Amino acid sequence: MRAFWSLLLRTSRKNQPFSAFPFANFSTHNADHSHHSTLQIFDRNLKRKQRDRAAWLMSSKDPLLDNVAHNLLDRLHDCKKDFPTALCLGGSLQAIRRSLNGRGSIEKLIMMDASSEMVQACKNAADVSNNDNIESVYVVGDEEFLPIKESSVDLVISCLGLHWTNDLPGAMIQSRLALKPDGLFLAAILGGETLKYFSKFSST
Amino acid sequence: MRLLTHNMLSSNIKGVTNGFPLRIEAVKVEEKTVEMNTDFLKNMFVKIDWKVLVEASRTLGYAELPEEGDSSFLESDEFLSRFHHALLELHLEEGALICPETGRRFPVTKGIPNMLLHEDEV
Repeated sequence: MRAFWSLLLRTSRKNQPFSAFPFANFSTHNADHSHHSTLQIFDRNLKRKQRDRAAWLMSSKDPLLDNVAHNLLDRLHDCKKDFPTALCLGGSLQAIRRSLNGRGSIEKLIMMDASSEMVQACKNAADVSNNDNIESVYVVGDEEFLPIKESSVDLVISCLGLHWTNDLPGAMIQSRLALKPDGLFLAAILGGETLKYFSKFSST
Repeated sequence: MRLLTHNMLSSNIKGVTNGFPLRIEAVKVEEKTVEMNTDFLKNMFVKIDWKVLVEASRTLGYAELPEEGDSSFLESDEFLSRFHHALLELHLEEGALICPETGRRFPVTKGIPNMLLHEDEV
């Protein structure tokens, strides 16, 4: 799976030094309203609409996404720790849900996506195949502006859902704030070699 | 949306220093019976903000929770079933969550809270 970058980050056991501040200030956007310090590469509004439409067309199984989710979640076996509370960020929510199979001993899972249709689809799928006893929670939210209380989750998973953020460092800082000390951030992002393949395809 | 969810959400509008807890505006509340899992409840008890849960369950019309939460209560079956009901069986289907500082309404539709911000709020 060299086509994907996997990220495995642990928060330190000590409390984060800046946890006294609110979330919103940790996007790396400039404080000045007139312009943003980060380039707005993606039209997030349009992206959300595209994902709303994509949710209607999604099939209940996707070999590519399932493969990535499997590879990503296998990393949970490398940790001796349990992760009772997990936050799953937008991207391939359903693939993560399908592939979890009790890994990480997750008891409570927050499924969050900026697209309300994606969240609804995920909820509907879970209602049908309620085959494990993970308490799932569904929220529509933006990973660049995480609406989760500080220091409240043990694990953040993002499966192919961070490559369309304009402010990746900001999104990661907020994930870190949402994590408890000694929490784990686990992500798969399209990048590196994958982009080379894409340009090869598009030029032929 | 269950109160378990409410206990973890916070408003992240730019400039808001304390976006937790969100106030609840209930339009439609449903009760759905689910099987009780005592171990889960015991694990969750230490993680949730008790006062916020009590306040939220009152807003949804359930006033059976004691004002103060104490881990010794977890031995009582009656307490556990009340706790279970408030945390997992009460569903806010339609309504809104309101930012305690700015009063901004985050709508809850079909049981899913929408925490997306407008462009001028980020």
